[in-house]
Amino acid sequence: MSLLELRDVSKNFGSYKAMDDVSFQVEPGRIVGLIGPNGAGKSTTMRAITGLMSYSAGEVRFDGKKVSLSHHSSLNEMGNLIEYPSIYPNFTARDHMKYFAMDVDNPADIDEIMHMTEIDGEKFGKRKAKHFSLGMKQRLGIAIALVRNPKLVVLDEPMNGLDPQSVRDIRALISNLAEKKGVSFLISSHLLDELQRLADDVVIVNKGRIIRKSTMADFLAEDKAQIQVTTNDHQKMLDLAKENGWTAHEFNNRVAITVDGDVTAQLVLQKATTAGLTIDDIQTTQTNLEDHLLEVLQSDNQ
Amino acid sequence: MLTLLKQEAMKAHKQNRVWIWALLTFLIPVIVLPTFVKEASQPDAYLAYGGASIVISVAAIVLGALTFTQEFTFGTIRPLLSRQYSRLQVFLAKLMTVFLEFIVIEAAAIVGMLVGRGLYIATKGSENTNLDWHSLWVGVGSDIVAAVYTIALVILISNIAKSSGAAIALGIVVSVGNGLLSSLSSILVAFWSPLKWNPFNLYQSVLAYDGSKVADTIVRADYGTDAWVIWVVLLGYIVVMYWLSYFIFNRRSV
Repeated sequence: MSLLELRDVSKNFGSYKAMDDVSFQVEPGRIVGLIGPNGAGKSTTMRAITGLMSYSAGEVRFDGKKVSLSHHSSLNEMGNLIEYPSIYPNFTARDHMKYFAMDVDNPADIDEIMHMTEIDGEKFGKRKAKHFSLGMKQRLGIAIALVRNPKLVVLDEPMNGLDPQSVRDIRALISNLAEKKGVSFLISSHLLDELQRLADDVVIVNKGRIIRKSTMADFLAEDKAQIQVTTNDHQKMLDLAKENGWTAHEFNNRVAITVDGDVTAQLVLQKATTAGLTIDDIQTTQTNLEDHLLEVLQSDNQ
Repeated sequence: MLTLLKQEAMKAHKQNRVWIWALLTFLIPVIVLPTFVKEASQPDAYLAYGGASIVISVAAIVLGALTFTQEFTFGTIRPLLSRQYSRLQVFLAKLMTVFLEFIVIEAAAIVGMLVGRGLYIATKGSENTNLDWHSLWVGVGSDIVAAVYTIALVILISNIAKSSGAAIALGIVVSVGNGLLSSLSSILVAFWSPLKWNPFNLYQSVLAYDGSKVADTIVRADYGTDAWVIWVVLLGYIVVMYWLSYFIFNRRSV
């Protein structure tokens, strides 16, 4: 049984479909990246999962129990950080931990979580949260999400406001919790490099719809190297690619030709020159999550 | 539920909100009664806690308004509601905390009044310092009715508008601006007689009612019925206001 399951969940704001038949699962111990452009429905999806928002149709189940605006008794085993860290200005970091630890009978070790998220230092100490920087609040928000010993942690942009070292630390913490304690994570982030390193599975959402879901490995495997060409006539270049049976499309004001079979940069250059095209730039690139995501989204938008 | 109450108490304690109000309602009679109130006015001043009664009203309004709106302001409404507790439990915990806070503040005023009276007796003698305990407890009862009513109104406004400013402003008008509301009610009643049953008018009548035969006669003349009826109708309004507040709170997506 999946730890979290969304089945055909829809949410309309008037005529606008914020979630359109959204279905996906999160399995125990897996880290799932929920990615998509701004306004795609990521935060809305997370709010539906955490019982903060009603939905028009479908069902959300966590740990076998239904989650809705009015029924969410299973949420004691879910931690979350949605959009921004929510803090009580007059609480210290430790006050926050004590406050949220009260919710469950067997919370995580507060000292351990504070140490892992590095909110136990002198910088935090007895300072009230209203004096924290964005990065400090973000760390605290992540610590709060973990303190109830959750089976699933929902994190919306957890790396916001963190410096590179902190991003690395949080990534290590998430991997460690998933691997050693079997905690599942559903994470949305614009830092796709980080998600690429972190996530086991990927769910891509666009315009409220799930347009792709697979393991990260499979998704990246779809992504082949490309020869990206900048010419004086992109349409002519695309026609040339078609004549030669190459897979090509216009992308970021360049023509991207998928490296397949015997296609090489040298061959492309030779054919283009013969056809009278002026090549301003040509490079072979191994695309990554970001590039592949952009391609998938572009293809969906067309 | 106990956990939610503990958490609300922790928030109240850390924000010092109860202690500041309680300190104020304690200190006002301690300072005012022996210093500023003349001998002839002492008995009446005891019943108004040496002037702290107005502070109690304002405290009830502010505490009621902030209990929900602060969660929106701080953004903590999401972690508050994305837990295993039902919204009814969260709502009731907040309501109970506000009433407990009110009781602490009222108690601080009574203790402060007793201390202030003691200081007056110690410094100026016991002439004309009789404390009418019966009237004092009637006054406490009126304060509680007023608090239940104004908190209901303030919580309703704060849930509709998510604005502590609007809730506090209306609460203060209702609580302090008796004269203004009485005048408005009179105009409404003159316009159409059944409007005498509006909650503001009923609230004024209930507050003015002291159980005497004269008060009974006034109620009968104004409403054509016994006093208990206006109490029941006001109670009905209060129940509806709390229910509406919960209804809005329960359905709100955050």
